[in-house]
Amino acid sequence: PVSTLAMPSYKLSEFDTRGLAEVSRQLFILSGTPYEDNRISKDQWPALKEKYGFGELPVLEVDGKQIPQSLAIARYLAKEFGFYGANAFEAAWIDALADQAKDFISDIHPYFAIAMGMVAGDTDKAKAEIALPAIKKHFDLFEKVAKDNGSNSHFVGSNFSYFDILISEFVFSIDSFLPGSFDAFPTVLAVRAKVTSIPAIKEWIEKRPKTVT
Amino acid sequence: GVSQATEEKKNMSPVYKFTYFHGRGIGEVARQLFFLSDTPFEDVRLVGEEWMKIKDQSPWGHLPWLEIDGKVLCQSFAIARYLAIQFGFVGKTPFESAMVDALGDQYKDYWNDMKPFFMPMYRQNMEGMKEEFEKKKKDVGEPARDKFYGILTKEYKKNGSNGHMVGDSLTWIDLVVVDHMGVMDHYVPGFLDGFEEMRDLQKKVNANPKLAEWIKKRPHTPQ
Repeated sequence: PVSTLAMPSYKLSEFDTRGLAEVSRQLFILSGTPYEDNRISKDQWPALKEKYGFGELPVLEVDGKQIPQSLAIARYLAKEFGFYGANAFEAAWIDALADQAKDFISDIHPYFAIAMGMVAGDTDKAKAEIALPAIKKHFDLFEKVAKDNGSNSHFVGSNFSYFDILISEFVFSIDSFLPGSFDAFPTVLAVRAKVTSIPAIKEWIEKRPKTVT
Repeated sequence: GVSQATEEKKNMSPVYKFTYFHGRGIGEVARQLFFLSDTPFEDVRLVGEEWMKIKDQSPWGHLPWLEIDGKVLCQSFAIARYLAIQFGFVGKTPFESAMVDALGDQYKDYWNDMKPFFMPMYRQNMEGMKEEFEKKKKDVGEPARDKFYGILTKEYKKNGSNGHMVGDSLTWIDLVVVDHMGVMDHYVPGFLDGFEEMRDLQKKVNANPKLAEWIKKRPHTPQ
């Protein structure tokens, strides 16, 4: 038997939001690894900011040592827990898709800034000119990748990767603003269906704090 | 026989073909990793209209992409990380690799912050661009610089100011940061003065003999 004393202690600090940190939360859950889900309020943050090397959240602490940046954290945990493809080439593809997803966030961000009232603008116009083209551009690619991988409900290889989880969450968040946006991408939706059908993930989604993003 | 040929094929190095613009940008780190590890590669550089002509047929619609025995891999940092793992430029532990990754992601955030400044920066000597350049430098460039190089300075000091951002070996983030410093030195001399630790990193990384050799012999482009 493996002693739990041999396992590192994990603490994931983030605001009370899902975002890209949610990928790491689900990696802990999928692997059955205990972790502290440390949610920091906006009020607490100014006093805490100094503590964190890059001055931003999320940060993962592994036995007290900090790793910042949400995707660096996700990659680290994916590697530890086995959600990073079967070989180096598959891992690189998973990373490439995650970077592509970050490009997608950049492209669609101006729509969300308006839709969430952070910036003045016409939401319908932003939907037509920013959101829908960004979704088409990037999800045409993601749909193709899922199909080229054999439509096996994974984007890369034959097992769950951190990118499967990432896209599952993206679809959930964006669908709440723009229902039906992903109807044109059935192979992507099949990946999401497979992730969310895992009992531990299903249970987590039902009980996790409900946040807009 | 057949099994011997299969063994030989398995032991043969992969054939690498790297396609990017004729420039350094986010592609240069891959080229440096090939050269530093004495790995032959085909260095395809697209000029003029060549990219626009093939963009729609390209694997993911952007540059760079890498072919490894004909298998395609896209996204500059996924490529850099893959090559760095093959050739030993990711630090010595999973924790170190994660810190290299985190700095890479922070660099990308910095790049996004700087984007509104880059175009006026490249065009600063064109008719009428000087004022826009100065404005964007003050409003965009300097805050983005202070934030990013502030983080780098803190990490470099924490790591012992030993010529590396992470651990005690050259990693792909050292190459990315130092190459970019060279670009900024070219376009905005003095922009990075005052970041003494970064100048120390730059000096020590550029003193790497193999890197110095590449810098001398590579095609010369301002960025």
